[in-house]
Amino acid sequence: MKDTMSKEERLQAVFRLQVPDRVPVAPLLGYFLSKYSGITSAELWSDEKKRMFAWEKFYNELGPIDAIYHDNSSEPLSQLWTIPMKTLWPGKELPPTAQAQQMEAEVMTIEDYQSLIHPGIIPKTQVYGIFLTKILRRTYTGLPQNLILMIPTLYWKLFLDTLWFRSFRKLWEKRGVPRLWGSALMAPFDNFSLLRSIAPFSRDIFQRPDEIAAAANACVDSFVFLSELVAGIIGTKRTWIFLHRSSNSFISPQQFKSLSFPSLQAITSKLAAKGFDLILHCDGNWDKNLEIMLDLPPRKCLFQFDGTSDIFRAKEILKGHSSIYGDVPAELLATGNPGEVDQYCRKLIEIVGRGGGFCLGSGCELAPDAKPENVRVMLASVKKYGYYA
Amino acid sequence: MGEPDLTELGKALADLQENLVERLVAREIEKKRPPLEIINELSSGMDAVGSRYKQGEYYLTELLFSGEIFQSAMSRLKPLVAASGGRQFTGKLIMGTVKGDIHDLGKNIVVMLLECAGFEVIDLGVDVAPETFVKALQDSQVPLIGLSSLISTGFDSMKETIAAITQAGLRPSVKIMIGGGPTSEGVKNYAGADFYGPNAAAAVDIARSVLTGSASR
Repeated sequence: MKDTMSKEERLQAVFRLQVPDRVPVAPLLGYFLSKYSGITSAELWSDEKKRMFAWEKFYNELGPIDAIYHDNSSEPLSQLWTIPMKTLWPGKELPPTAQAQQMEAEVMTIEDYQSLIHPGIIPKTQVYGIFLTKILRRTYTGLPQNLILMIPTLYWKLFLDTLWFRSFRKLWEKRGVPRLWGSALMAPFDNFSLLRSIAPFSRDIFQRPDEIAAAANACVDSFVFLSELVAGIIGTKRTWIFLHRSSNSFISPQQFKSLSFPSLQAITSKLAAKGFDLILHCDGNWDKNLEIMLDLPPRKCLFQFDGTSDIFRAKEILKGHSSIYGDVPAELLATGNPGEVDQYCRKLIEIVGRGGGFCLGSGCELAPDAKPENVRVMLASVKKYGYYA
Repeated sequence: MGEPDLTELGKALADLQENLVERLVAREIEKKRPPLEIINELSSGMDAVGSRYKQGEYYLTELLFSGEIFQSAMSRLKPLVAASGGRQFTGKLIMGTVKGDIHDLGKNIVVMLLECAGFEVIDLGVDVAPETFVKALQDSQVPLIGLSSLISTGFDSMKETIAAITQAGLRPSVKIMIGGGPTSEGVKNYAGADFYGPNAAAAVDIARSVLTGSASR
């Protein structure tokens, strides 16, 4: 059988829960790109030509795939803007072949909650951005510490990054490959958990839950503003929302409902009203948080699962409402054999892909040690099993 | 296993009543109760927390908050324990994040819960080379090692660490458990470990079964 849709049409059909010509596949490549192409992680971050080479090599030898996504740029600030933790970088603090690693520490204070809830003269559309800037000032030494110099320097570098992503998007669009998402941010509740660090934040959940919820809600308009701005420059009207600490791996469904979901619902509703599609990157276990997701805008959300949730049960709950992405596990791609990968992909396609609303992908990012033969089998499976009759 | 019978103090901890735990500990200290008796009540409360976690009533947040309450109480009791002759640990083990990985969140949570459960933990930290694990094992002769990693490149580090332990002739006398984000039963088999702990509470259960020979409470 053959493709009868463009890759963008196929993705749109997935979001709309219509039946495409076949199941699309769009793995999150991560450091597999560097390992497979023979460049270092440090070069993936810092060398534009080598980064382009890595993408070409991957696409031509193992691909094709149905969408590219946010990738590294020469300036790590875009990654830090999403997750503003102290980070060790390959080629700097770490060996050139290592993965960047975040160090969890208490860099957000209790007072920061109040600053978000009562921002004073800061406009609502700038609250989350200013918060991220304040945190970066505490965790990243690559910017001037003086706020008057730091803010324009930071925003200029982020703007240049965004222009790079835009040019990368246009390059691949010429080949008919769309970008999976435009803007990317971490959900406010999840950011608080990381930035307070897990033990103090666990205490906050019991000692100041109302403050957490209010602070997360205070970030909504700014989250929407930043998403719209960045996606507008890049040219892809889809927003990726990183969620992990909202999962049941960390909090109860009751805590999710009262502390994290209200802001998430507001963000997705406002962006959906502006014509955005949302990609909810749900790392961790979400099994008990799924039913409430039916209160999010229908036919606008794609849930990315990383292998920890029961993706088959998720299909039962979300079918008719939201689409699903995933979830070939890192462990299977790294230690399994092609037969096992083929079998699992087939199961995903046949069950989760039934009736449409499914994009095959890796569970979170492809590990650098994923076996190329396994990745090849995963990518090929959508043409082997994924055509809808 | 069901929740054990709890005293007022144990129940306060199990119910995460931080202020009540503080008041009750202060009261018991004032009554000059032996500190080890108070610690035992607190430990029973932690066991109940673990039980509720396994039953799906509590989540990681509750585990961590209970650990903080416990440690806060212990900070008041430790000087009294030392003065009265010290505390007997239930067992001793080594924990560490394997080479190439600097993440310590999961490992630190497990270490905290193990200590709350009465185990003595030699925490080797992060990015621990195989030879460092081997040396620590040679020096301490503990019967259990826990290897943690949050990244998939840690699978090979775990395998190399276990190979180094085997090469040193120590494998027959030590059990090895693994845990952390992308790990699984498959990774346990790949690396040659004995146990896989899918979460922090499971790690405590493994430690109990190996170090005390008793099943989980």
